Amino acid sequence: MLKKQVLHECASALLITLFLYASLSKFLDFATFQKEMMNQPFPTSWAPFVVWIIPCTEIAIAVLLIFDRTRLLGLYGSFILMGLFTVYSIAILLHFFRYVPCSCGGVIKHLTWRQHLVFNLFFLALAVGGILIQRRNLLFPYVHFKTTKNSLT
Amino acid sequence: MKKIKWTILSIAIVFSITSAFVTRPKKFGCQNDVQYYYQGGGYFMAGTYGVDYECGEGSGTCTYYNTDDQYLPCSVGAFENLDLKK
Repeated sequence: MLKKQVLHECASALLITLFLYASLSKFLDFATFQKEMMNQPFPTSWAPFVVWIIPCTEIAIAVLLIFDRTRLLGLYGSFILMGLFTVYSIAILLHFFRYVPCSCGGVIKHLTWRQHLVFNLFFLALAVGGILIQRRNLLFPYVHFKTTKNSLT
Repeated sequence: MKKIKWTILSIAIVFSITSAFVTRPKKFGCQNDVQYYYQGGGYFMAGTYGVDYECGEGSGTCTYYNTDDQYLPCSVGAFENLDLKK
């Protein structure tokens, strides 16, 4: 049980690392991020909003993942965001867009789009696994306690 | 368990903040690189700003610069070819 809980904490920690790192890298090189967002396939009038929405959402999800009370919400947020990034990577690999610069933060931008897809799928799987464990913990909060008590008697 | 949880989370937070600062790109300004403009499915050398081209009002990408065989946006605005105006 403890091992499973530690694995669950590690999954959340990895998601926190990803979102905090990606958002901070965007803010630390904000001018480049803005320029890259201007070149995305969506209308350029969206760019001034999207440049703030994406990194702020990433920070918000990272904060939600820290606390037990808000973790499930954070995991759902991670699932939605990683799901969107995964769909976007697939669309690029299928040549849906003419030319798309990677607007990712830090070293993540050096990945190829194929590597990106694998990377996104890994974190998507972490979010799904986290949701399943967290939901079970919320539905059966005393299972661990009862098993421990029984094993002692 | 709480101690383990906070240790893992603290490591994650410190690691992500530190690595974001460490991998921050050094500023050298794309304006010093050769500027290209995009037209009809290809990228062409823009020339000298104010002589060959200008970036007018607009929210699109005016010029690009080349790095690692990729054209990345550099300046914002509408590309205006001054050679055509002469």
